Amino acid sequence: LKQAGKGFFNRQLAGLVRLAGIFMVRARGTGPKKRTAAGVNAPMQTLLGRMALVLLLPYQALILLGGGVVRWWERATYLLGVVAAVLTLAVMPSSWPRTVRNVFARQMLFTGVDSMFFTMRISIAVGVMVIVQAQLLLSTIAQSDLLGTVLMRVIVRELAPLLANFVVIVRSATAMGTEMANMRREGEVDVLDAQGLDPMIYLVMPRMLATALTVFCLAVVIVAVSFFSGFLMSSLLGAASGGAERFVNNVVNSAQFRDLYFFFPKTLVTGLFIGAISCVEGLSVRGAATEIPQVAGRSAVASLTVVSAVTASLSLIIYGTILSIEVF
Amino acid sequence: LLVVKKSDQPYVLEFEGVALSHTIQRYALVREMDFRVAPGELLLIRCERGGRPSPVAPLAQGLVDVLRGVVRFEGVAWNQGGSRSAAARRGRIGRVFDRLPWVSNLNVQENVALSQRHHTARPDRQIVEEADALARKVGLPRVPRGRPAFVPGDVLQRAQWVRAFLGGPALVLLERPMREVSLEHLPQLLEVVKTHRRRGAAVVWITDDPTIWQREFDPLPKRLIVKDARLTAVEGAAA
Repeated sequence: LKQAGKGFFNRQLAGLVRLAGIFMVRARGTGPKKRTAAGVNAPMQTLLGRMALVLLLPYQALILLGGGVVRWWERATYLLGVVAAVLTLAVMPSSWPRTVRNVFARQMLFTGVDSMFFTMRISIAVGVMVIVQAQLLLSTIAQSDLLGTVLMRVIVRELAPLLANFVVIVRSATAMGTEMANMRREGEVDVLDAQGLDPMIYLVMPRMLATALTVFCLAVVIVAVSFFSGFLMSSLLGAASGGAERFVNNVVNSAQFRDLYFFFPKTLVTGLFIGAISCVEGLSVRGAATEIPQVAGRSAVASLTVVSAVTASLSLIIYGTILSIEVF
Repeated sequence: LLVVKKSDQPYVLEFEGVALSHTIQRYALVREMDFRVAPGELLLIRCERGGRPSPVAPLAQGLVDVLRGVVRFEGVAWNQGGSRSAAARRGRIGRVFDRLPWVSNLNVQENVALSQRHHTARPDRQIVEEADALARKVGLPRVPRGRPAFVPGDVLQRAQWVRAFLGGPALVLLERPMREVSLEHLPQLLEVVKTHRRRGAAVVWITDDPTIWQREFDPLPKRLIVKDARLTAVEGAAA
Protein backbone atom coordinates (compact mmCIF):
# COMPACT_ATOMS: atom_id res chain seq x y z
CA LEU A 1 0.00 0.00 0.00
CA LYS A 2 2.85 2.32 0.93
CA GLN A 3 4.61 1.61 -2.37
CA ALA A 4 1.41 1.99 -4.37
CA GLY A 5 0.67 5.27 -2.61
CA LYS A 6 4.17 6.52 -3.28
CA GLY A 7 3.90 5.52 -6.93
CA PHE A 8 0.60 7.32 -7.32
CA PHE A 9 1.95 10.40 -5.56
CA ASN A 10 5.09 10.42 -7.69
CA ARG A 11 3.13 10.05 -10.96
CA GLN A 12 0.83 12.93 -10.04
CA LEU A 13 3.78 15.04 -8.98
CA ALA A 14 5.72 14.25 -12.15
CA GLY A 15 2.70 15.17 -14.27
CA LEU A 16 2.23 18.46 -12.48
CA VAL A 17 5.89 19.39 -12.61
CA ARG A 18 5.98 18.59 -16.32
CA LEU A 19 2.90 20.70 -16.94
CA ALA A 20 4.38 23.54 -14.94
CA GLY A 21 7.64 23.23 -16.86
CA ILE A 22 5.87 23.48 -20.20
CA PHE A 23 3.93 26.53 -19.09
CA MET A 24 7.02 28.16 -17.59
CA VAL A 25 8.92 27.67 -20.82
CA ARG A 26 6.02 29.25 -22.68
CA ALA A 27 5.90 32.07 -20.13
CA ARG A 28 9.55 32.88 -20.75
CA GLY A 29 8.93 32.68 -24.47
CA THR A 30 11.92 30.38 -25.06
CA GLY A 31 10.04 27.21 -25.90
CA PRO A 32 10.35 25.67 -29.33
CA LYS A 33 7.68 26.80 -31.74
CA LYS A 34 6.59 23.28 -32.61
CA ARG A 35 5.40 22.71 -29.04
CA THR A 36 3.00 25.60 -29.23
CA ALA A 37 -0.46 24.22 -28.73
CA ALA A 38 -2.64 24.82 -31.73
CA GLY A 39 -5.45 27.27 -31.20
CA VAL A 40 -3.93 29.04 -28.15
CA ASN A 41 -2.36 32.38 -28.87
CA ALA A 42 0.99 33.49 -27.40
CA PRO A 43 -0.22 36.09 -24.84
CA MET A 44 -2.73 33.58 -23.54
CA GLN A 45 0.03 30.97 -23.12
CA THR A 46 2.21 33.47 -21.26
CA LEU A 47 -0.66 34.30 -18.94
CA LEU A 48 -1.39 30.60 -18.33
CA GLY A 49 2.28 29.97 -17.67
CA ARG A 50 2.53 32.74 -15.10
CA MET A 51 -0.65 31.59 -13.44
CA ALA A 52 0.69 28.03 -13.25
CA LEU A 53 3.93 29.31 -11.77
CA VAL A 54 2.12 31.28 -9.08
CA LEU A 55 -0.31 28.48 -8.35
CA LEU A 56 2.39 25.83 -8.12
CA LEU A 57 4.73 27.73 -5.81
CA PRO A 58 2.82 26.90 -2.63
CA TYR A 59 2.41 23.37 -3.94
CA GLN A 60 6.18 23.05 -4.40
CA ALA A 61 6.74 24.46 -0.91
CA LEU A 62 4.28 21.90 0.43
CA ILE A 63 6.12 19.12 -1.39
CA LEU A 64 9.42 20.20 0.15
CA LEU A 65 7.89 20.35 3.61
CA GLY A 66 5.97 17.13 3.05
CA GLY A 67 9.09 15.36 1.80
CA GLY A 68 10.88 16.23 5.03
CA VAL A 69 7.96 15.06 7.13
CA VAL A 70 7.66 11.82 5.14
CA ARG A 71 11.40 11.14 5.54
CA TRP A 72 11.18 11.84 9.27
CA TRP A 73 8.13 9.61 9.59
CA GLU A 74 9.81 6.77 7.68
CA ARG A 75 12.90 7.04 9.88
CA ALA A 76 10.83 7.08 13.08
CA THR A 77 8.79 4.04 12.03
CA TYR A 78 11.97 2.23 11.00
CA LEU A 79 13.50 2.87 14.43
CA LEU A 80 10.30 1.71 16.12
CA GLY A 81 10.43 -1.39 13.95
CA VAL A 82 14.00 -2.12 15.05
CA VAL A 83 13.06 -1.66 18.71
CA ALA A 84 10.01 -3.94 18.32
CA ALA A 85 12.09 -6.58 16.51
CA VAL A 86 14.77 -6.52 19.20
CA LEU A 87 12.22 -6.84 22.01
CA THR A 88 10.58 -9.76 20.20
CA LEU A 89 13.94 -11.47 19.69
CA ALA A 90 15.02 -10.79 23.26
CA VAL A 91 12.23 -12.88 24.79
CA MET A 92 13.20 -15.95 22.73
CA PRO A 93 15.73 -18.14 24.58
CA SER A 94 17.13 -19.28 21.21
CA SER A 95 18.33 -15.70 20.62
CA TRP A 96 20.72 -15.98 23.54
CA PRO A 97 23.55 -18.36 22.68
CA ARG A 98 26.78 -17.83 24.61
CA THR A 99 28.26 -15.64 21.87
CA VAL A 100 25.40 -13.17 22.21
CA ARG A 101 25.61 -13.29 25.99
CA ASN A 102 29.31 -12.43 25.69
CA VAL A 103 28.57 -9.41 23.49
CA PHE A 104 25.92 -8.28 25.97
CA ALA A 105 28.34 -8.61 28.90
CA ARG A 106 31.11 -6.75 27.05
CA GLN A 107 28.72 -3.96 26.13
CA MET A 108 27.55 -3.66 29.73
CA LEU A 109 31.17 -3.46 30.81
CA PHE A 110 32.05 -0.80 28.26
CA THR A 111 28.89 1.29 28.48
CA GLY A 112 28.10 0.83 32.15
CA VAL A 113 31.05 -0.12 34.32
CA ASP A 114 33.63 1.96 32.44
CA SER A 115 31.50 5.09 32.67
CA MET A 116 30.71 4.67 36.37
CA PHE A 117 33.36 7.08 37.70
CA PHE A 118 32.52 9.72 35.11
CA THR A 119 28.85 9.43 36.10
CA MET A 120 29.71 9.68 39.80
CA ARG A 121 31.69 12.88 39.24
CA ILE A 122 28.73 14.45 37.47
CA SER A 123 26.35 13.19 40.16
CA ILE A 124 28.41 14.85 42.89
CA ALA A 125 28.13 18.17 41.05
CA VAL A 126 24.39 17.69 40.57
CA GLY A 127 23.90 16.82 44.23
CA VAL A 128 25.83 19.84 45.39
CA MET A 129 23.97 22.20 43.06
CA VAL A 130 20.42 20.94 43.44
CA ILE A 131 20.32 19.81 47.06
CA VAL A 132 22.20 22.75 48.53
CA GLN A 133 20.04 25.20 46.57
CA ALA A 134 16.86 23.37 47.61
CA GLN A 135 17.96 23.24 51.26
CA LEU A 136 18.77 26.94 51.29
CA LEU A 137 15.53 27.93 49.59
CA LEU A 138 13.27 25.70 51.65
CA SER A 139 14.87 26.65 54.97
CA THR A 140 14.40 30.32 54.05
CA ILE A 141 10.66 29.78 53.69
CA ALA A 142 10.57 27.36 56.63
CA GLN A 143 9.52 24.42 54.49
CA SER A 144 12.46 22.06 55.05
CA ASP A 145 10.10 19.11 55.23
CA LEU A 146 9.40 19.52 51.53
CA LEU A 147 13.00 18.73 50.66
CA GLY A 148 12.34 15.06 50.01
CA THR A 149 9.44 15.85 47.70
CA VAL A 150 11.46 18.40 45.77
CA LEU A 151 14.37 15.99 45.36
CA MET A 152 12.17 13.13 44.24
CA ARG A 153 10.48 15.35 41.67
CA VAL A 154 13.58 17.07 40.36
CA ILE A 155 16.29 14.43 40.56
CA VAL A 156 14.49 11.10 40.41
CA ARG A 157 11.80 12.01 37.92
CA GLU A 158 13.69 14.31 35.56
CA LEU A 159 17.36 15.00 36.11
CA ALA A 160 18.80 11.56 36.79
CA PRO A 161 17.25 9.85 33.74
CA LEU A 162 18.24 12.77 31.49
CA LEU A 163 21.83 12.85 32.76
CA ALA A 164 22.20 9.08 32.49
CA ASN A 165 21.04 9.29 28.88
CA PHE A 166 23.51 12.08 28.15
CA VAL A 167 26.40 10.15 29.69
CA VAL A 168 25.60 7.09 27.58
CA ILE A 169 25.26 9.17 24.42
CA VAL A 170 28.57 10.93 24.98
CA ARG A 171 30.51 7.80 25.95
CA SER A 172 28.85 5.01 24.00
CA ALA A 173 26.45 6.09 21.26
CA THR A 174 29.21 7.63 19.17
CA ALA A 175 31.56 4.72 19.86
CA MET A 176 28.91 2.16 18.98
CA GLY A 177 27.98 3.98 15.78
CA THR A 178 31.63 4.15 14.72
CA GLU A 179 32.23 0.51 15.59
CA MET A 180 29.23 -0.63 13.56
CA ALA A 181 30.23 1.59 10.64
CA ASN A 182 33.77 0.18 10.66
CA MET A 183 32.48 -3.38 10.82
CA ARG A 184 30.16 -2.70 7.93
CA ARG A 185 32.84 -1.03 5.85
CA GLU A 186 35.46 -3.72 6.49
CA GLY A 187 33.04 -6.50 5.54
CA GLU A 188 32.94 -7.94 9.07
CA VAL A 189 29.14 -7.93 9.07
CA ASP A 190 29.23 -10.11 5.93
CA VAL A 191 31.70 -12.45 7.63
CA LEU A 192 29.32 -12.85 10.57
CA ASP A 193 26.38 -13.41 8.23
CA ALA A 194 28.34 -16.03 6.29
CA GLN A 195 28.97 -17.94 9.51
CA GLY A 196 25.28 -17.95 10.33
CA LEU A 197 25.45 -15.21 12.96
CA ASP A 198 22.48 -12.98 12.26
CA PRO A 199 23.75 -9.38 12.68
CA MET A 200 20.43 -8.41 14.25
CA ILE A 201 20.89 -11.04 16.98
CA TYR A 202 24.66 -10.89 17.38
CA LEU A 203 25.34 -7.18 16.90
CA VAL A 204 22.19 -5.12 17.40
CA MET A 205 20.13 -6.88 20.06
CA PRO A 206 22.76 -7.20 22.83
CA ARG A 207 23.99 -3.65 22.28
CA MET A 208 20.52 -2.15 22.46
CA LEU A 209 19.53 -4.10 25.57
CA ALA A 210 22.85 -3.39 27.28
CA THR A 211 22.46 0.32 26.53
CA ALA A 212 18.93 0.37 27.97
CA LEU A 213 19.98 -1.48 31.11
CA THR A 214 23.04 0.73 31.50
CA VAL A 215 21.01 3.94 31.31
CA PHE A 216 18.74 2.58 34.03
CA CYS A 217 21.64 1.55 36.27
CA LEU A 218 23.50 4.83 35.78
CA ALA A 219 20.34 6.77 36.66
CA VAL A 220 20.15 4.81 39.93
CA VAL A 221 23.81 5.65 40.59
CA ILE A 222 23.15 9.34 39.84
CA VAL A 223 20.25 9.41 42.31
CA ALA A 224 22.24 7.70 45.07
CA VAL A 225 25.45 9.70 44.63
CA SER A 226 23.75 13.07 44.18
CA PHE A 227 21.60 12.56 47.30
CA PHE A 228 24.63 11.55 49.34
CA SER A 229 26.92 14.30 48.05
CA GLY A 230 24.19 16.92 48.34
CA PHE A 231 23.43 16.03 51.93
CA LEU A 232 27.12 15.92 52.79
CA MET A 233 27.77 19.31 51.25
CA SER A 234 24.71 20.96 52.85
CA SER A 235 25.78 19.54 56.23
CA LEU A 236 29.26 20.92 55.79
CA LEU A 237 27.86 24.33 54.84
CA GLY A 238 25.39 24.19 57.70
CA ALA A 239 22.39 24.39 55.38
CA ALA A 240 20.95 21.03 56.42
CA SER A 241 18.43 21.26 59.19
CA GLY A 242 18.25 18.09 61.24
CA GLY A 243 20.62 15.19 60.82
CA ALA A 244 21.14 12.42 58.34
CA GLU A 245 18.24 10.51 59.82
CA ARG A 246 15.83 13.35 59.13
CA PHE A 247 17.14 13.70 55.58
CA VAL A 248 16.72 9.98 54.88
CA ASN A 249 13.25 9.93 56.43
CA ASN A 250 12.29 12.97 54.42
CA VAL A 251 13.38 11.37 51.17
CA VAL A 252 11.95 7.93 51.93
CA ASN A 253 8.59 9.33 53.06
CA SER A 254 8.22 11.40 49.94
CA ALA A 255 9.03 8.48 47.63
CA GLN A 256 5.95 7.19 45.85
CA PHE A 257 5.26 4.25 43.64
CA ARG A 258 4.33 6.60 40.81
CA ASP A 259 7.94 7.85 40.68
CA LEU A 260 8.69 4.56 38.95
CA TYR A 261 6.28 5.58 36.16
CA PHE A 262 8.81 8.25 35.30
CA PHE A 263 12.01 6.44 36.12
CA PHE A 264 11.59 3.20 34.17
CA PRO A 265 10.38 4.53 30.82
CA LYS A 266 12.73 7.50 30.85
CA THR A 267 15.72 5.23 31.24
CA LEU A 268 14.84 1.92 29.60
CA VAL A 269 12.89 3.26 26.60
CA THR A 270 15.34 6.02 25.78
CA GLY A 271 18.26 3.62 26.26
CA LEU A 272 16.72 1.28 23.70
CA PHE A 273 16.40 4.15 21.25
CA ILE A 274 20.01 5.26 21.79
CA GLY A 275 21.19 1.74 21.01
CA ALA A 276 18.90 1.45 18.00
CA ILE A 277 20.00 4.78 16.54
CA SER A 278 23.71 4.02 16.94
CA CYS A 279 23.41 0.58 15.38
CA VAL A 280 21.15 1.71 12.53
CA GLU A 281 23.35 4.71 11.71
CA GLY A 282 26.50 2.60 11.84
CA LEU A 283 25.15 -0.22 9.72
CA SER A 284 23.80 2.20 7.11
CA VAL A 285 27.35 3.04 5.95
CA ARG A 286 27.89 2.02 2.35
CA GLY A 287 31.65 2.06 1.99
CA ALA A 288 33.26 5.51 2.04
CA ALA A 289 35.72 6.04 4.91
CA THR A 290 34.56 9.64 5.20
CA GLU A 291 31.14 8.41 6.28
CA ILE A 292 32.47 6.99 9.55
CA PRO A 293 33.12 10.25 11.45
CA GLN A 294 29.79 11.50 10.14
CA VAL A 295 28.11 8.46 11.66
CA ALA A 296 29.49 9.34 15.10
CA GLY A 297 28.07 12.85 14.85
CA ARG A 298 24.75 11.70 13.45
CA SER A 299 24.37 9.04 16.17
CA ALA A 300 24.94 11.59 18.92
CA VAL A 301 22.66 14.26 17.45
CA ALA A 302 19.87 11.84 16.62
CA SER A 303 20.13 10.21 20.06
CA LEU A 304 19.98 13.58 21.83
CA THR A 305 16.95 14.57 19.75
CA VAL A 306 15.16 11.31 20.43
CA VAL A 307 16.01 11.34 24.15
CA SER A 308 14.68 14.91 24.47
CA ALA A 309 11.56 14.08 22.50
CA VAL A 310 10.86 10.80 24.31
CA THR A 311 11.55 12.32 27.75
CA ALA A 312 9.31 15.30 27.08
CA SER A 313 6.57 13.12 25.57
CA LEU A 314 6.69 10.69 28.48
CA SER A 315 6.49 13.56 30.96
CA LEU A 316 3.48 14.97 29.15
CA ILE A 317 1.78 11.59 28.90
CA ILE A 318 2.45 10.64 32.51
CA TYR A 319 1.62 14.08 33.95
CA GLY A 320 -1.50 14.13 31.80
CA THR A 321 -2.57 10.71 33.05
CA ILE A 322 -1.91 11.63 36.66
CA LEU A 323 -3.61 15.01 36.31
CA SER A 324 -6.66 13.40 34.81
CA ILE A 325 -6.89 11.06 37.81
CA GLU A 326 -6.31 13.57 40.57
CA VAL A 327 -5.02 17.07 41.10
CA PHE A 328 -1.26 16.74 41.05
CA LEU B 1 36.46 -35.27 18.22
CA LEU B 2 35.98 -34.76 14.52
CA VAL B 3 32.65 -36.16 13.44
CA VAL B 4 31.12 -35.01 10.18
CA LYS B 5 27.36 -35.40 10.17
CA LYS B 6 26.63 -37.03 6.83
CA SER B 7 23.84 -35.46 4.85
CA ASP B 8 20.78 -37.59 4.01
CA GLN B 9 20.54 -35.82 0.66
CA PRO B 10 22.32 -37.20 -2.42
CA TYR B 11 23.87 -33.78 -2.97
CA VAL B 12 25.18 -31.33 -0.42
CA LEU B 13 25.18 -28.41 -2.82
CA GLU B 14 23.20 -27.90 -6.01
CA PHE B 15 23.34 -24.99 -8.46
CA GLU B 16 20.50 -25.29 -10.95
CA GLY B 17 20.58 -22.83 -13.86
CA VAL B 18 21.88 -20.09 -11.60
CA ALA B 19 22.61 -16.67 -13.03
CA LEU B 20 23.97 -13.75 -11.07
CA SER B 21 22.30 -10.41 -11.61
CA HIS B 22 24.52 -7.97 -13.52
CA THR B 23 23.53 -5.31 -10.98
CA ILE B 24 25.62 -7.08 -8.31
CA GLN B 25 29.02 -5.62 -9.13
CA ARG B 26 30.96 -6.93 -6.14
CA TYR B 27 31.47 -10.29 -7.82
CA ALA B 28 32.62 -11.51 -11.23
CA LEU B 29 29.62 -11.88 -13.52
CA VAL B 30 28.69 -15.53 -14.11
CA ARG B 31 25.52 -16.07 -16.14
CA GLU B 32 25.26 -19.83 -16.09
CA MET B 33 26.08 -22.06 -13.14
CA ASP B 34 24.91 -25.66 -13.17
CA PHE B 35 26.58 -28.21 -10.93
CA ARG B 36 26.10 -30.55 -8.01
CA VAL B 37 28.44 -31.62 -5.24
CA ALA B 38 27.82 -34.89 -3.41
CA PRO B 39 29.06 -35.73 0.09
CA GLY B 40 32.77 -36.52 0.01
CA GLU B 41 33.26 -34.85 -3.38
CA LEU B 42 35.76 -32.13 -4.24
CA LEU B 43 34.82 -29.54 -6.82
CA LEU B 44 37.67 -27.46 -8.18
CA ILE B 45 36.68 -24.16 -9.80
CA ARG B 46 39.19 -22.06 -11.70
CA CYS B 47 38.44 -18.38 -11.86
CA GLU B 48 40.22 -15.53 -13.61
CA ARG B 49 43.34 -14.21 -11.96
CA GLY B 50 43.15 -10.61 -10.75
CA GLY B 51 39.45 -10.25 -11.55
CA ARG B 52 36.58 -9.62 -9.22
CA PRO B 53 35.91 -12.34 -6.60
CA SER B 54 33.96 -15.41 -7.61
CA PRO B 55 30.27 -15.37 -6.60
CA VAL B 56 30.15 -19.14 -6.04
CA ALA B 57 30.82 -19.11 -2.28
CA PRO B 58 28.34 -16.33 -1.37
CA LEU B 59 25.75 -17.95 -3.65
CA ALA B 60 26.38 -21.34 -2.07
CA GLN B 61 25.66 -19.76 1.32
CA GLY B 62 22.52 -17.99 0.12
CA LEU B 63 24.05 -14.57 0.77
CA VAL B 64 23.47 -13.20 -2.73
CA ASP B 65 20.15 -13.12 -4.57
CA VAL B 66 20.10 -14.91 -7.88
CA LEU B 67 18.65 -13.49 -11.07
CA ARG B 68 17.29 -16.91 -12.02
CA GLY B 69 17.79 -20.52 -11.01
CA VAL B 70 18.02 -22.05 -7.59
CA VAL B 71 20.78 -22.89 -5.11
CA ARG B 72 20.12 -25.77 -2.71
CA PHE B 73 22.12 -26.72 0.35
CA GLU B 74 21.33 -30.19 1.71
CA GLY B 75 18.31 -30.34 -0.57
CA VAL B 76 16.71 -27.08 0.64
CA ALA B 77 16.72 -23.93 -1.50
CA TRP B 78 18.06 -20.83 0.21
CA ASN B 79 14.90 -18.89 -0.59
CA GLN B 80 12.83 -21.42 1.39
CA GLY B 81 12.35 -21.00 5.13
CA GLY B 82 13.06 -17.95 7.24
CA SER B 83 16.24 -16.10 8.04
CA ARG B 84 16.74 -18.00 11.30
CA SER B 85 16.70 -21.36 9.58
CA ALA B 86 19.07 -20.01 6.92
CA ALA B 87 21.45 -18.77 9.62
CA ALA B 88 21.38 -22.17 11.34
CA ARG B 89 22.14 -23.93 8.01
CA ARG B 90 25.04 -21.56 7.36
CA GLY B 91 26.48 -22.81 10.63
CA ARG B 92 27.06 -26.16 8.86
CA ILE B 93 29.21 -24.56 6.17
CA GLY B 94 32.90 -23.82 6.67
CA ARG B 95 34.52 -21.18 4.51
CA VAL B 96 37.93 -19.73 3.79
CA PHE B 97 37.10 -16.18 2.77
CA ASP B 98 38.80 -14.52 -0.15
CA ARG B 99 39.37 -11.30 1.75
CA LEU B 100 38.70 -9.47 5.04
CA PRO B 101 37.72 -12.59 6.94
CA TRP B 102 38.09 -11.51 10.58
CA VAL B 103 36.02 -9.69 13.17
CA SER B 104 38.57 -7.16 14.40
CA ASN B 105 37.34 -6.81 17.98
CA LEU B 106 37.79 -10.54 18.66
CA ASN B 107 41.12 -12.33 18.82
CA VAL B 108 41.95 -15.02 16.26
CA GLN B 109 41.02 -17.87 18.58
CA GLU B 110 37.65 -16.26 19.37
CA ASN B 111 37.10 -15.73 15.65
CA VAL B 112 37.93 -19.33 14.87
CA ALA B 113 35.59 -20.69 17.56
CA LEU B 114 32.81 -18.15 16.97
CA SER B 115 30.56 -20.21 14.71
CA GLN B 116 30.85 -23.35 16.85
CA ARG B 117 30.19 -21.40 20.03
CA HIS B 118 27.16 -19.78 18.43
CA HIS B 119 25.56 -22.80 16.79
CA THR B 120 26.46 -25.66 19.09
CA ALA B 121 26.39 -26.43 22.79
CA ARG B 122 29.84 -28.02 22.74
CA PRO B 123 31.97 -27.00 25.74
CA ASP B 124 34.44 -24.22 24.98
CA ARG B 125 37.38 -26.40 26.01
CA GLN B 126 36.42 -29.06 23.51
CA ILE B 127 36.18 -26.51 20.70
CA VAL B 128 39.56 -25.01 21.59
CA GLU B 129 41.18 -28.45 21.77
CA GLU B 130 39.81 -29.39 18.36
CA ALA B 131 40.93 -26.06 16.89
CA ASP B 132 44.44 -26.46 18.31
CA ALA B 133 44.64 -30.03 17.01
CA LEU B 134 43.63 -28.82 13.53
CA ALA B 135 46.13 -25.98 13.80
CA ARG B 136 48.94 -28.47 14.45
CA LYS B 137 47.88 -30.38 11.32
CA VAL B 138 48.40 -27.25 9.20
CA GLY B 139 51.77 -26.42 10.75
CA LEU B 140 50.78 -24.01 13.50
CA PRO B 141 51.70 -24.71 17.14
CA ARG B 142 48.14 -23.69 18.09
CA VAL B 143 45.50 -21.18 17.04
CA PRO B 144 46.94 -17.67 17.62
CA ARG B 145 45.53 -15.78 20.59
CA GLY B 146 46.33 -12.27 19.31
CA ARG B 147 44.10 -9.83 17.48
CA PRO B 148 44.02 -10.42 13.70
CA ALA B 149 45.74 -7.08 13.07
CA PHE B 150 48.86 -8.30 14.90
CA VAL B 151 49.15 -11.78 13.40
CA PRO B 152 51.20 -12.40 10.20
CA GLY B 153 49.22 -12.97 7.00
CA ASP B 154 50.28 -16.59 6.34
CA VAL B 155 49.45 -17.60 9.94
CA LEU B 156 46.07 -15.89 9.65
CA GLN B 157 45.34 -17.69 6.41
CA ARG B 158 46.11 -21.07 7.98
CA ALA B 159 43.95 -20.09 10.95
CA GLN B 160 41.19 -19.58 8.36
CA TRP B 161 41.69 -23.20 7.25
CA VAL B 162 41.22 -24.26 10.86
CA ARG B 163 38.04 -22.23 11.16
CA ALA B 164 36.65 -23.65 7.90
CA PHE B 165 37.11 -27.28 8.98
CA LEU B 166 36.31 -26.84 12.68
CA GLY B 167 33.30 -28.82 13.90
CA GLY B 168 33.10 -31.06 10.83
CA PRO B 169 31.00 -28.98 8.45
CA ALA B 170 28.87 -30.61 5.76
CA LEU B 171 30.26 -28.26 3.12
CA VAL B 172 33.60 -26.45 3.00
CA LEU B 173 34.10 -23.50 0.65
CA LEU B 174 37.74 -22.67 0.02
CA GLU B 175 38.18 -19.36 -1.75
CA ARG B 176 41.83 -19.11 -2.85
CA PRO B 177 43.00 -20.83 0.35
CA MET B 178 46.69 -20.66 -0.63
CA ARG B 179 46.66 -16.86 -0.83
CA GLU B 180 49.62 -15.54 1.22
CA VAL B 181 50.66 -19.09 2.16
CA SER B 182 53.81 -20.78 0.91
CA LEU B 183 53.24 -23.84 -1.31
CA GLU B 184 55.15 -25.93 1.23
CA HIS B 185 51.96 -25.93 3.32
CA LEU B 186 49.79 -27.20 0.45
CA PRO B 187 50.24 -30.90 1.35
CA GLN B 188 49.00 -30.12 4.87
CA LEU B 189 45.84 -28.52 3.50
CA LEU B 190 45.34 -31.37 1.04
CA GLU B 191 45.61 -33.87 3.89
CA VAL B 192 42.96 -32.04 5.91
CA VAL B 193 40.72 -31.84 2.84
CA LYS B 194 41.19 -35.55 2.21
CA THR B 195 40.37 -36.46 5.81
CA HIS B 196 37.18 -34.42 5.75
CA ARG B 197 36.13 -35.78 2.35
CA ARG B 198 36.49 -39.31 3.69
CA ARG B 199 34.20 -38.38 6.53
CA GLY B 200 31.55 -37.08 4.13
CA ALA B 201 32.18 -33.35 3.75
CA ALA B 202 31.76 -31.82 0.31
CA VAL B 203 34.51 -29.37 -0.63
CA VAL B 204 34.41 -26.56 -3.19
CA TRP B 205 37.87 -25.16 -3.91
CA ILE B 206 38.02 -21.92 -5.89
CA THR B 207 41.44 -21.07 -7.28
CA ASP B 208 43.13 -18.83 -9.80
CA ASP B 209 46.47 -20.59 -9.36
CA PRO B 210 47.53 -22.90 -12.24
CA THR B 211 49.79 -24.89 -9.89
CA ILE B 212 46.81 -25.95 -7.82
CA TRP B 213 44.54 -26.38 -10.85
CA GLN B 214 46.95 -28.81 -12.49
CA ARG B 215 47.75 -30.75 -9.36
CA GLU B 216 46.72 -34.37 -8.93
CA PHE B 217 44.15 -34.84 -6.17
CA ASP B 218 43.22 -38.05 -4.48
CA PRO B 219 40.33 -38.87 -4.90
CA LEU B 220 39.92 -37.03 -8.22
CA PRO B 221 37.89 -33.86 -8.14
CA LYS B 222 35.27 -32.47 -10.52
CA ARG B 223 36.65 -29.47 -12.36
CA LEU B 224 34.84 -26.37 -13.59
CA ILE B 225 36.31 -23.34 -15.29
CA VAL B 226 34.82 -19.89 -15.79
CA LYS B 227 34.66 -19.34 -19.56
CA ASP B 228 32.62 -16.60 -21.27
CA ALA B 229 30.81 -15.90 -18.00
CA ARG B 230 29.77 -19.57 -17.74
CA LEU B 231 30.97 -22.36 -15.50
CA THR B 232 32.07 -25.10 -17.89
CA ALA B 233 32.99 -28.64 -16.93
CA VAL B 234 36.56 -29.74 -17.72
CA GLU B 235 37.62 -33.36 -18.13
CA GLY B 236 40.93 -34.56 -16.72
CA ALA B 237 43.53 -32.83 -14.60
CA ALA B 238 45.65 -30.85 -17.04
CA ALA B 239 43.09 -28.40 -18.37
